[in-house]
Amino acid sequence: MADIHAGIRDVCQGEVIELPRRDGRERHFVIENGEDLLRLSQWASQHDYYFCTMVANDERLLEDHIFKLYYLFSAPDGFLVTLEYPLNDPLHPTKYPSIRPSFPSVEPLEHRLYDTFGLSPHTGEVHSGTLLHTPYPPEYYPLRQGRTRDKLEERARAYSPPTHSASAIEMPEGMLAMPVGPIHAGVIEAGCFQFHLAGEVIEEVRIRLGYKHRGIEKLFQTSYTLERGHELAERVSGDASFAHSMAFCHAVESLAGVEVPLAARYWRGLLLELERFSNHAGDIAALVHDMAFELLASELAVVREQTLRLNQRVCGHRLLRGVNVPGGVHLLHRPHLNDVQRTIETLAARLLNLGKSVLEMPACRERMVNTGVLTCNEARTGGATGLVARASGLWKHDFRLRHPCGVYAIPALALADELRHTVVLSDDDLPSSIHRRVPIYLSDLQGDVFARLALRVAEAETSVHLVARLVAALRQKGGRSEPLVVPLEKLLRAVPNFEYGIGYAESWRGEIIYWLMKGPRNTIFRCDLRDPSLFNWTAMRQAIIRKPDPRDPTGRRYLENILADFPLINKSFNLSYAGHDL
Amino acid sequence: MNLTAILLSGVIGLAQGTLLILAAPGVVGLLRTIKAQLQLRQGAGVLQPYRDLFKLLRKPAVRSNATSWIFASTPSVLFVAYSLLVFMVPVVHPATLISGDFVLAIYVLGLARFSLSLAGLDTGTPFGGLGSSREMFFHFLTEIGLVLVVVGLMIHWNTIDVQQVFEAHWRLGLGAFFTRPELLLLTLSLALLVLFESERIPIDNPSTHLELTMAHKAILLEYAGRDLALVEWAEMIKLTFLLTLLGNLFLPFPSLLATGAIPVVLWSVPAYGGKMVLLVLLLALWELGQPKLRLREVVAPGFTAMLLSLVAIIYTIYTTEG
Repeated sequence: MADIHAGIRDVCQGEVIELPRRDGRERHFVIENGEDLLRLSQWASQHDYYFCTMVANDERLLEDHIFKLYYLFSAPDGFLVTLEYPLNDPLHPTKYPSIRPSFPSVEPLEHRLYDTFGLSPHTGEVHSGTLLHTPYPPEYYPLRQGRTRDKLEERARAYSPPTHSASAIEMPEGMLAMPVGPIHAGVIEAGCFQFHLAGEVIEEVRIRLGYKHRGIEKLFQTSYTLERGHELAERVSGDASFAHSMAFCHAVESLAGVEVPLAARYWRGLLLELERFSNHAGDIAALVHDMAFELLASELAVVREQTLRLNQRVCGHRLLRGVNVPGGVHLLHRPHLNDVQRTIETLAARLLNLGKSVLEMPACRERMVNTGVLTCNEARTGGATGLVARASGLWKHDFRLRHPCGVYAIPALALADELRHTVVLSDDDLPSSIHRRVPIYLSDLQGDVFARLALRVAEAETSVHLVARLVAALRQKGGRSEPLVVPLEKLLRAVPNFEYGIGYAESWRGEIIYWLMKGPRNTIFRCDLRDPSLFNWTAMRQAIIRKPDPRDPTGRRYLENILADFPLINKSFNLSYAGHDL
Repeated sequence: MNLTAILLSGVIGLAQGTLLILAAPGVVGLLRTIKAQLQLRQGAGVLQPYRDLFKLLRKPAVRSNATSWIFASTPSVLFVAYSLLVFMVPVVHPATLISGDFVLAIYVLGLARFSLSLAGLDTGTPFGGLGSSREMFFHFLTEIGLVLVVVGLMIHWNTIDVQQVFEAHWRLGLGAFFTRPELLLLTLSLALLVLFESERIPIDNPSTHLELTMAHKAILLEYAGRDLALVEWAEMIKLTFLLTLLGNLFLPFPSLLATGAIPVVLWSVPAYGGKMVLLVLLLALWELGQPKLRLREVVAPGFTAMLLSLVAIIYTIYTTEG
């Protein structure tokens, strides 16, 4: 029913060409007609498709001589669907139809395309400056081909931005506009939040990001090759280093059409879960710290630190850098599996005990329940992803389940089983093989701070179970010294130029997606990456502002948050600024 | 009372008040160290507040051009107000430099808060205004609570003079004290109000630097150098004063009423020290054991304090009438 072919047959009037993909789980269609694209996207949104990303590509120097857009959707039947739309209108070579009516989550991407490519939609407003702020010259469009780094740097240096004059913010009587940031009092990244307050209640919040824009995508395309890009990928967003490099490597491997060795897949899965565990532990600690519950916060911080030290022992880097390479993993030495198993079990026991007491303590519940509510509907339409979406009740939204790859696709390990039972639907539903020390029920997931904390605890527990299974699997393989890396260089050279590959990994924040187009001599012609934070920042705004309570039939009750609770909400989302700003 | 006795009591009052002001950073240092140790951290040591103050006192005060004399004078107002309070309570000796009643004490606290809130508004920064508004919100709860405590004491002892109430409690002694439920209720009430007045968990977080959640610290954000030192020192004095009040009024042991006798003083100094350590320890445990309340929910402990005093008042009236 949700098959994309059916949709194309039903709604498309113009010609749609399907191009073959090497990976059987991917589909690629070229849609020449803008109306068809809009109709198809509407069909997709009705059929539970998830909009992943929109990639713009400057192909004016290639055979078609135009800009192209690639829309990436995750279909409910497990396919990744790419819709290629060439901007072939000779009168408006930089205009495209906006799919915002069917997928509102595309909006930040449209702003971004305006800054980086100068492309704008026919309808719907885009403004410049979300990514490239005023110090950059107008019409900079750094991602267009032919704008080399030297030229861009020269232009930026020569440009003197107009002196900025602050204008007063007009507010209704009795309301206060309160700008916070971009520099904050804590050790956090730069982002400006402008609160519109009526007393303590937050009516509206405008989030301005982009202060950490480093030109990552351009850097990939100018200074890195397919074989070395992972080094940059793991520095995109420090706390998800491993997931980022894994997604990048996955894209390269899918381009080369190789499957990494089994042992390497095990290791990748194991380390990804370790990263998830340590970050969830750190997040729970930070959230408890924000409630000023110091005793538990410091205990939880110890758990995170011990996990990072375990990372150091396993692969020589606390944030798991330098492990992933395209084609497999690179380990300095064979790590002690016993150490991993023992350490993670002790830590898990501590984390779960502490997490349980936080979840049960009335004073903590009081602060978390009904704070920062992101309703299920808002999460779905807003394109929220990862843990945030799951905590709002979309508990199946997990790329490890939707599009299993690597270790998650091995049926013998049955990791999906564990994943599916992260959230307990009902007590009878739980098979005897699966034991949950801190069961979190679907009814807990109401999209508030409590739900997100509860889910972090549950996911940390799942990660521990997964690690246990992977350790067992690695042990079963025994000491057979199978190579952990397959050499890719030759395979990559054989791939035709301007072929693209999609790579993704479910990081602890949500799925990270890399879209790589190969250039001549294994260079990267185009690298687009989408961090889960991109969509979740919009979701966070939605969770903060004052809005009618959808659970109240009379429509008179409102969901509102006070300013003093903002740090708690912010921490419960814990989004990446760097991942958004690129 | 002859002149030498008056002079002597004045000198003693001056001495113990001054010592308390000097000891105040140590009390805060002790609190922080205990909290750190209980969290398995080392902590910066008991003397760290002294080092911080010394460092800040040597730095010039930077003041924004947009501020007026209110901003500039507030640190001194705070310091003088809280120091005044310290000279009103007996510490290790019943003599005090200033004699006054509890209503004066409440409104000296109120004056300090008023001045601080004005300073917050004076800077014109959003945080200042926000902090001031929250500060006033807390103050409305504490002021009523404190007045009710004083009313409770007044009905019980027929006086609100600080020294006379202290004397009455000491005459009662610790054993008899615990047989009077109304005084115990007032103790609990005051203990809650001490948390309010000193802006501690669960009302406000004294160690946070998250600008959005704080009330008190939000006002102090604009202070620097000498000004900041004075403000912080004043806060420390306030905490010490409140703990001393709680300890000497509601843990009336040992009795200091053998007036001026040197051996009693010698014995009361370690006793006072012990009481302070006990209270600081209790405060540390209290603070570690629970999260901060949501800003709007602080009304609950405020009303609890008022209710406790009210019950004490009703009980006193009932028992004395009957």
